[in-house]
Amino acid sequence: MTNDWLIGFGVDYHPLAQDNGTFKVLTNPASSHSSFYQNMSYQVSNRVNLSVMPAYTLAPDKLLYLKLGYSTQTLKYRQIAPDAGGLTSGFERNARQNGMLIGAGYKQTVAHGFYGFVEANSVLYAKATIQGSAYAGAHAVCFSSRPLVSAMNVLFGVGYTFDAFGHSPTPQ
Amino acid sequence: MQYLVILILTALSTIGWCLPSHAESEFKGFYGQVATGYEDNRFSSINPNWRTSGSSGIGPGGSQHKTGAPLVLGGGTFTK
Repeated sequence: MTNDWLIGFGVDYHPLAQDNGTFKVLTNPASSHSSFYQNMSYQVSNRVNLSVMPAYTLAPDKLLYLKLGYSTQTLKYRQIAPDAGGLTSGFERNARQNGMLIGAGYKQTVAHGFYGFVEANSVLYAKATIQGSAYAGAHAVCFSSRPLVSAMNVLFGVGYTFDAFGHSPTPQ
Repeated sequence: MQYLVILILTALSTIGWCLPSHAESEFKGFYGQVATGYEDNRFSSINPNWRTSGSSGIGPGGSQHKTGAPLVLGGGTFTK
């Protein structure tokens, strides 16, 4: 068994928006005492993770690593139309969320320079204020809240290792 | 028991740092990778924060989550 500690620095980008989820917001027209729920949707996109990765070399072709880092993503939320609450104008907003990431993974070389890997990550974002306003007839309706957003994933993929000259590592 | 676990992990880490390397890791250098898998995005409410001029909280049920298959592009470097 070999022994070799490495330190890694990485960036991950999630180019695809995740499917919408829905939630309800309790709105309260400013000019009356009544309130009702509005159906809302949300979508997360443009996630970027920056990570520091302490790694342990189990063998020249096997690497075990931890991920500690920073994550940022866009949270889009909008009113679902047509809305049962009777809003005559809706809204769509974006909020930027920042959080911290922790994860772990394993890489295994499968061919000259190419490797496969599995990885698990958990991200917890700081609470971001989401707010909006619209009209129900002539009455202004507004809401504001600070939800907690988090994400967990299990990933598997392939990659390629190379040196500063673009060459793959020499087989041991 | 907790101290024993900490002691064992510390000892293993120390041994790991002190032992000489027998071979160079193939992962030393730069990398580029692509991945997919399973993801769960969770959207949890907090207690409604009522205001005087019309406001709100999230509810009822309080928590929503959605799963999907992400596409993740990555790059970086490993060094000693």
